[in-house]
Amino acid sequence: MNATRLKQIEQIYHAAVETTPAHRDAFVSGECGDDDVLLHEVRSLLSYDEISDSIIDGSPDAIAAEMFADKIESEFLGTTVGHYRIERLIGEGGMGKVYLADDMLLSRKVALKILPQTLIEQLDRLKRFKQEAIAASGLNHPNILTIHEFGTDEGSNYIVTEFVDGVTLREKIKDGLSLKEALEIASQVASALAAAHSAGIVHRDIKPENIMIRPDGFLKVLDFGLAKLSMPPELTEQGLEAATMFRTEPGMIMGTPNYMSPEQARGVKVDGRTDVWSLGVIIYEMATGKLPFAGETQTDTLVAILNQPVPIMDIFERDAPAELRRIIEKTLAKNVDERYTNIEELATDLKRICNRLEFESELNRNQGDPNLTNGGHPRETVTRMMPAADVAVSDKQVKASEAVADKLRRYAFALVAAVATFAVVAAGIIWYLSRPQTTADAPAAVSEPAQPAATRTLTYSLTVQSFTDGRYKEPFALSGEMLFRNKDRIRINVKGVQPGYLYILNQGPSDAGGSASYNILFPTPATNDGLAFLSGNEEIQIPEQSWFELDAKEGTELVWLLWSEKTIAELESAKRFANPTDRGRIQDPELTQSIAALLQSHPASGVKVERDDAQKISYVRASGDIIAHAVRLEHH
Amino acid sequence: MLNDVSHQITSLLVDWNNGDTNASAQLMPLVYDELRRMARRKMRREAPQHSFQTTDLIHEAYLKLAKHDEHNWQNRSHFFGVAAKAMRHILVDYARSKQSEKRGGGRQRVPLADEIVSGPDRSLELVALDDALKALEALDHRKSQVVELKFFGGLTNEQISEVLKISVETVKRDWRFARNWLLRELAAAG
Repeated sequence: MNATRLKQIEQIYHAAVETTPAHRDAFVSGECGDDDVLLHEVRSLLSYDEISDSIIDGSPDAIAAEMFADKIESEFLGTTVGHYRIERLIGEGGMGKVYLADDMLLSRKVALKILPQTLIEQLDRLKRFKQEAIAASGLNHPNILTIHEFGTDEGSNYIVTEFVDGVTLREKIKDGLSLKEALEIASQVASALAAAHSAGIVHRDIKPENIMIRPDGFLKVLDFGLAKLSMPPELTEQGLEAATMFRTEPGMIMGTPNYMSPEQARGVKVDGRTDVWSLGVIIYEMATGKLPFAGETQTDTLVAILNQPVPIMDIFERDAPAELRRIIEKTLAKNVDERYTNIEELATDLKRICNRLEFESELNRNQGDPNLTNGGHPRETVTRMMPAADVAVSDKQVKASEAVADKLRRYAFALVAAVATFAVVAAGIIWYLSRPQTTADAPAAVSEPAQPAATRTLTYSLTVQSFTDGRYKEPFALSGEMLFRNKDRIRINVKGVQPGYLYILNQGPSDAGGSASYNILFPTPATNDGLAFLSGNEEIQIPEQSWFELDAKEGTELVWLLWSEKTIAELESAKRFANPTDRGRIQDPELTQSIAALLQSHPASGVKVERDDAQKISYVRASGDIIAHAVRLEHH
Repeated sequence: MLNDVSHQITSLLVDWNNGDTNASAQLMPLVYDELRRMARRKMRREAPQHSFQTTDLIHEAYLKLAKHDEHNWQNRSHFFGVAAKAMRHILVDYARSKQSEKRGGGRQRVPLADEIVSGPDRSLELVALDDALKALEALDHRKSQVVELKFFGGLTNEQISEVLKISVETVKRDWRFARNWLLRELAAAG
């Protein structure tokens, strides 16, 4: 076919479309005369008017989503978000994906959760969530996951928390738990919740997926404050929960209503006692391997939660102590007023059974073989969480009469308090030991506040996207030097350890004999609202949502970082050139001269630069009120 | 000198507006990279089930660029024209690489699961559509542009008429005919 032929076909086609369907075929035949090929062409083209849902009638969105999703995961690994390098996906839920990441500033493993983009428009909710999550983390409870940071990167919100190298309670339940293990887990969760409740924070989404257990048995409760964020805003405004929270947003991964309290199922106001219920469901599940309330559909489950009595008989299939039945009935009371008012009481009750089981097994053992010392016993029967109690008991295990056992029990209760303190101290020690090692040249030291007052510290790194073979490669991090080529792109990441004023200038390769000229790169209206001030440990990316590209002029590009205790008048005055017309170029010759003088008066010799190539970060330190340091970009 | 890339795109749009035809060629890789980066960011940070709209993406990219400079309607339609083309390249490049992967070039796949899960192979359809569109381009360049702007750029008939400087009525006629012509090509190829 050629263009002329196509025109001919098109003319007849459009004319035919104008005719009524009844006369159309006769019209086309008449127009085409004895050109059978033409007739066939036009007829077949007309027949496609009947088809309405072809590939072209849709949008390429589904195809795009499918294909991007296919590629994205592997490409995301190894890239950076803030100063974190993404290593691998470790979890995924309705509220975002969780990655194991490497904190390049502090050399430690962290968990990084990226929150859905939709939350960006809901700043108030996000703020409240942050407050609540930080408040919970700030309790410093050993069983509550520590939040390191909330950050934004290219418009996405992320949360950085400590990384717990363990498995979720869900996996533990699948593998099967002993009654004692179950009770230890429950009492740690209760302890975490008790601390949160006394600070006025309700978790609202206690379930096995939100409990991480380390190999040593120590556990962490995750995601305080997050449940509220996953609910429709109009409900949380009123302090209400919703039975529909699991099916609100299309496309969101559905949660399970199995751990929901009756008041959540009904969509009424909740308090700490909703967490008591959820923990009750977990205790039941751990003790029996079954869920107390479950139906074929979510609605069936909700109905069971609201109406069915606890199938308590199952518990006795496992010789659980009678007291456990009482605890479960009290945690799973449909009426909130019949439940534990204070989760602390539940924690105490759980610990009591824990201790009893322990002493009973201890007693049985001693009765079975009174000559054996503790050292000869298999250790796995000893509660892992309570090493202090274990030691104390082995000292006192001489006579095994009922009376002594009773006395021991009372003693043990006193120990519970001591054990709780021990757990906090132990957590502190574990934290201390697992801190990144600081060596003489270790940059990790910058995170510690104890710097001599006069020293200012600035860290920087570059993100580079190189242009090779006509396309841009994946971005990578760079601590300092490399040879740049035309069109290579960079982004500068800077963090001031102390609060202060940051200015960044670019000094291009000067023409032969020509004087220096400067461009202001930071602050600009697009970054940090045009303000030079950064609070301590605040990291900024320049440009925020874009890249700098090296122009064709080769030579040494200097990027001046000026980090000052006070504002710098010359540079404040230079800010006026950060507009689309001037593109940051400082056009005032007098101002240019005084900036050149300023840069000379703060020679680089007073500045100590340490480069950490492994972490791709450079540390710039100096005493005095202004640090001026030029990053050299060799461009040839 | 270090130039902010966002500024560069806007200044190229201005150059193009002022008659520099070379600017369009320079603009393509920049917009391509920008859209690809934004698409990836969207995808990796949201649940994959989250609705993904190529049109929204182009609009977001435009708003981001517009923030850096004063803009006018001319710039805007130029940008959408370039963006639609860039989007076509992005999607078709992905589709082609997926096809070559399937032919055994890339990762190992589990054939059975692959067949069951993926249903009709969209990447294959897209590659076929791109081939048909190239054939149309050789015969009638304007019609292929209309399809590109409408399908890959998500532009309305009115916007297409702005970009191509033709009447809305012509856009409609071109689309109707080109659509059927492409569908017939696809049927013949498949």
